[in-house]
Amino acid sequence: MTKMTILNRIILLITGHAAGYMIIAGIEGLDIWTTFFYTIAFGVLVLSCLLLMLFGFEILDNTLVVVVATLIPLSLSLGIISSYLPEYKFVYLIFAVLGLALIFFTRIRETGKLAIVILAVVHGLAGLVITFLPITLSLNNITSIWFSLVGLGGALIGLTGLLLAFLKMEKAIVSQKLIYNIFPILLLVVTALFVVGMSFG
Amino acid sequence: MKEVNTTTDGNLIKLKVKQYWTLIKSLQTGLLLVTGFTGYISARCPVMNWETLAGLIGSLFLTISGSTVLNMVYDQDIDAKMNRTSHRPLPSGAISSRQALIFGVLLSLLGMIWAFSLSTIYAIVVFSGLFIDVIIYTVWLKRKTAFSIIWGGISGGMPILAGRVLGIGQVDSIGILLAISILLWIPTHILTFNMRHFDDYNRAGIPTFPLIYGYKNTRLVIALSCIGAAIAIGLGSYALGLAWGYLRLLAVLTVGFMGLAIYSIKRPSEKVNFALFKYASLFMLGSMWMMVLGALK
Repeated sequence: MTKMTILNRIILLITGHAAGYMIIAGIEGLDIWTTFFYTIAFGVLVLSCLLLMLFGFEILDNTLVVVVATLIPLSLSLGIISSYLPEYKFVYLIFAVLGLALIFFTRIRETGKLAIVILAVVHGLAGLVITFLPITLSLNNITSIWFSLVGLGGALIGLTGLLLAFLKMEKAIVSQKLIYNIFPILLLVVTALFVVGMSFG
Repeated sequence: MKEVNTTTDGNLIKLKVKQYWTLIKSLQTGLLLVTGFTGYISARCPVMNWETLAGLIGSLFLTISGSTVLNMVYDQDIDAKMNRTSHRPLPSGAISSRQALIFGVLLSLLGMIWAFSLSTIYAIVVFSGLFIDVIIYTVWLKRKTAFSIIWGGISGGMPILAGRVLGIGQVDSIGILLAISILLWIPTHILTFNMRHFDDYNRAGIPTFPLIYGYKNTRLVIALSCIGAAIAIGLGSYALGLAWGYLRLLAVLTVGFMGLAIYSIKRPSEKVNFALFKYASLFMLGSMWMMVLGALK
């Protein structure tokens, strides 16, 4: 198991603080549902950083990590939809809750391929929403151009999820060590893009 | 030759300072100081009053350090039996009991004099913490009952109450709520530590919760303690009128705290236990940080 370096811990600490800042000051003035969804997204980021610092990389082997990791794109996409496409909020909420429940049960019961298919569908759709909706909104001048950074962050978090999925594969395409080495940096970049994008967007 | 002596003297002084510094358990003292500072700032008093602020930090530092040294003097026979503590300056003989006792009394006295010069009611709260910690917890109950941690918790809650009292000039319900939050948080901190060093405490004959009531019940007490501390801190923060943003982040940290406590019951392990111990400290520091920032805003 790759040991977590001091630099990794510092990066995670900065990431946790950035996500914490968003919860305190970055999502003020939004309606209660949007605030709630964004709080979950950034809250999971804060807790992920803390738990990674406390347990080290071996926590990534835990079955529940995939479920928790899905919470970030799901709640973030829910927040964006709730804020900019409120008419689809309820439908998307049902999709998110059902998707999360299905991921949870298929992971706990270790249903093999079905678990992978469900994860790919739920994660993929949420990833598409976070990646393309902010970019579309900023291109149509509904939000400022800065908001497209959230889309970039969405694409990167999709990549992060993909890397985590590689960890579970028997024949890894990317080495475990490399994934662990870039994971904290990826988390920091993703969070920074979200923070900047949402603060100025 | 003279130069060599100077260097040797310098090293000797450094060594002594290091040994005496060990006696005050700087991390624990620092955490309690943070709570005292938070209690003071929570009053939204004029924080630019540097004289009072320096007085608060100075007097609390001296009294908390003093009580810690006095505890170490009394508990040195226990420390000698435990692997974790046998190398400390007192059981290892690096500092004599008499020297440590004088040091502890001196620190406590100076701290109390400073506290009285600031405010009588503040000094009474500070003295209560000192008395409960040294006499009731360490001398009277620690070797008799596992429930002594309640008194350890009460004394641990005194710095935050003292800080608040110095800020507003009286004991109020928010101050008591904040002190209760520390009281409820302390079992998480102490009991996870008791489990981690179970053999040590067993060897020293200290009646800890894991020894008397078993690991399963101890984990349950820890989980309940987490919930209680989180509720008390949440209520205290709400009563202080912190902005929603701070309360939201506090709620997030609380979810992590409770989640880890429940996980430690479901999937107990040494690693989870120690992570909970560390998270408890982070949670407390984080909560205090929220309160300070929220009160200053």
